[in-house]
Amino acid sequence: MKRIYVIENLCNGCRLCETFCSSLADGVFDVKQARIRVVTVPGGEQDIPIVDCNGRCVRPLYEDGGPTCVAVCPTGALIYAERDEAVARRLELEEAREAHSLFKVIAPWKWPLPWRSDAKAADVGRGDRAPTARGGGVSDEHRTAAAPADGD
Amino acid sequence: MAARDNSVQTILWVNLADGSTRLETLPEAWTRKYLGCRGVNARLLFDEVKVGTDALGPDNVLFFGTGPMDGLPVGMGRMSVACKSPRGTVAEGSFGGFFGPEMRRAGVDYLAIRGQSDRPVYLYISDGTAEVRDAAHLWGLKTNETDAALRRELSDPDVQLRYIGPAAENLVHASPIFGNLNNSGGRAGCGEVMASKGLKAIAVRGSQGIRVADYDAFLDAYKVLRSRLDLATSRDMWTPVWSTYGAPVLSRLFTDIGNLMTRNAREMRWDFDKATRISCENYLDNYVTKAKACWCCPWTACYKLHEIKSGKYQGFKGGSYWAGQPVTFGSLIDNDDLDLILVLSGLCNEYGLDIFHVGYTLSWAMECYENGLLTRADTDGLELRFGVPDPDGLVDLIRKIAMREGFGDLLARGCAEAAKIVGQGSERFCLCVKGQELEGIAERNLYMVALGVAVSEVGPDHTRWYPPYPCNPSLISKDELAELGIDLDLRLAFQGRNPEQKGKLLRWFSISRAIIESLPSCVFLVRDTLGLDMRPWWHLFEAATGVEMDYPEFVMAGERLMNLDRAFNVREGYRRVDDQPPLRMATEDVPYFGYRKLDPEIFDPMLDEYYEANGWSVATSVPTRQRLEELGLGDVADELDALGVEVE
Amino acid sequence: MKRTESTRQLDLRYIAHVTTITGILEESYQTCVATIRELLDELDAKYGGFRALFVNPQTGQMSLNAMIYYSDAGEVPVSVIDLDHAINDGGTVTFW
Repeated sequence: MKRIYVIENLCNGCRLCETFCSSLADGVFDVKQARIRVVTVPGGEQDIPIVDCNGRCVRPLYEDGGPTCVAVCPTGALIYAERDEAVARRLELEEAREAHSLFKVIAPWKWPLPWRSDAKAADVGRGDRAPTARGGGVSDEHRTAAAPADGD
Repeated sequence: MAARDNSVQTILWVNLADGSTRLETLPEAWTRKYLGCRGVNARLLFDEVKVGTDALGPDNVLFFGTGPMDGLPVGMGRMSVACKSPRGTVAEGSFGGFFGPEMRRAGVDYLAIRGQSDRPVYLYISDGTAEVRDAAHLWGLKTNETDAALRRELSDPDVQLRYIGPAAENLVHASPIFGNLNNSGGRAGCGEVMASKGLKAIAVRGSQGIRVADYDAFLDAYKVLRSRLDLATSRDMWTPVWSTYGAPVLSRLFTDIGNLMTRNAREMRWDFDKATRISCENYLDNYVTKAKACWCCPWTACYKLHEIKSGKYQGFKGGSYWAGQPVTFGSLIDNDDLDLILVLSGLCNEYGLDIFHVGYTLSWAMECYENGLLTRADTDGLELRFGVPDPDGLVDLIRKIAMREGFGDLLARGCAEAAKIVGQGSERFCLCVKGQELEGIAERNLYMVALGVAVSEVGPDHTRWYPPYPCNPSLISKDELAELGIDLDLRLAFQGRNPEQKGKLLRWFSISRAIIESLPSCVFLVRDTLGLDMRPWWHLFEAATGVEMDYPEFVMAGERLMNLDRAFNVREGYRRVDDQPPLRMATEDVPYFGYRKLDPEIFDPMLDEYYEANGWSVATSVPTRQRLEELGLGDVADELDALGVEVE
Repeated sequence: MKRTESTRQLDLRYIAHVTTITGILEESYQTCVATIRELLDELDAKYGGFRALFVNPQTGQMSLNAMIYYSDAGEVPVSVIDLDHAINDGGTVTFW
């Protein structure tokens, strides 16, 4: 059965989820009515969505019928899936983060452009050493192209 | 449960002299004429703060404005703060975060603060009312300390706050107002004015729901807006970069195209490796801990939190490394240590200082030092050079500026005042307009920017016209432009160093951004066609408020705001002569690529075109009676007339 | 690759998310191709997925979500609109 799963460390605290949810039943934006609430730890260093809903949304925003909160979440912190898929997504996120710091701030399935898991970004470094990995010409290790990750 | 609507707006008047408060309703016609937020604030400011008012005295009024879109998922938490600046102009700024929606939930759309308290106070606003409370225990606290202290005291995790830091308390030039730790606004004078009233902070907590007039239409309009902005569908080259990595990647482009202010803008190119070291690839790799966003923003990570993981400043935390800091604490002072940039910016946030004031005043001072106009005797022994040979000394200097200690007191006055005191020709190193320091976007490469910086009524403020480029021309046809009532040759307008069409381009950008800031929403989200085609915004506004207007009427609200701002300044004595670039940009060529100085031959025709297109006197910049009456501002023309202002 | 009269020595820069394809921020690059379009093809062979960042498959034109800046040595960089823009020895190409 599909449920709404939360990946807390992707939540940026925007509250699109709770704001939309609060209005779906009666057109009134009132966060007290929301079935998903974001708890922000003072200092703002953690934003934690708490879901109080079985995922069968009273008013899906888009035609695919998925829960509105999941549809409007920009980062991918919310997913609507079976458990196995949810677990797979989390693993996908961790692997993507190993490869690129981009995925500190967005889920790979939300990033619509191609990227490569085998292209680890070079550390830029501080002022006291050369920042860039300068390569020249065509080298063999880069000839094998990894398949770009699928978009959303 | 209470639910309010969006067609009628409320204003809470507070007089700090006697603690009295009064909640009123604004005329319904105002929603139609001024929309809200910045537009309503402009009208309120013109009406309530009369010519010659002492900005730091009791008769100045500090306005905090939300608007009909706040609390709805398109307002992005934006708010406008406005008052008269100690420098004499309009002081208006916007900020984001989460305060605006909470004010609306409390049934308060505008907060207007008169008078002064003789002891430190803070305001506590809850559903429709305000209490003036003692703030002696808060005065002197840094912004982050104030945030923590008030949250503890009010023991309410959902309370929203705005506050000033010690810099504003000490009336340091350009101190903004802060909130949600890293959101700031009103650097044109609002923090100083808030401090002059003895007001340390504002807390707000509301419980009302917000009903939109037509929910189905609102959702449809939201989907259109979202499709223009969402990473998956936005047709804009900046959407992928800005919504994830962030604006500091610009350092690597700007330095190449001669657009990066380096060593007090004596040069416009920096070493590419240095630009790379402070760019967002490094930031995201080595500093970012998490993404943050303002209220309901559709972008993933405009805002990020960071921590310095090793080295001298290990453990230092902050947020929001964006477009200004790579210039103000990077290329401008020739510092390529990103740790130091983040520490300097973070301290500015904590003390409540404006990074542009601090950055440009430091770079002015460095150029003075290198020319022998300032010595170690003046700088309390600090070797104040480009390249920052003494980073510890510089870090301590931030505190000294906020606390007006020693050499910090000179810098605390801002670059323009400091240059008057030091004299000896140091004025030529001062990069200011109307007494306010520049920001991060260069002028001699992008003429519309040069014009926009010069004419802005609050001093340099890129948010009044940002972004400085139209969308990809393939997205909007000439016919569509005509249909939208936009009189522009986009091809010419797009040519950065061609003075033609820049006046008209600035006019259109100013109008459209004025509209967006009046809804309110965020001008950073002017992407895809949203800066030319205002119809998605118009549909949202109608659906939210139920106020039906035709499209030209909606657009006119933006122009009305521009005229109110101009009229305020004109009333205070500002004229065309005040709309000029900084001396360096006007008199010095950029030493590469043939970028010329902005001499009168280049600049004056652009200014003429801007004034003419606006229906303002080309000689003086005073709005003409005809244009004011067309905008329904005949009363403004009458008042200016009565004051002896030369209205044509 | 031996430097001949038709080889071009370029300075290539990769900005932000482009580094998720290349893994590096910049490089010196030698090539015999003469246009941006051909350079994209060549870089795509080296870094799979590179071309897809920049070329709209339907139109064959520059993607609306990408930018390329090109400059000849000592000249102002310009935004590339036509992918058949010439590249010359000593040029710098910045990929966004």
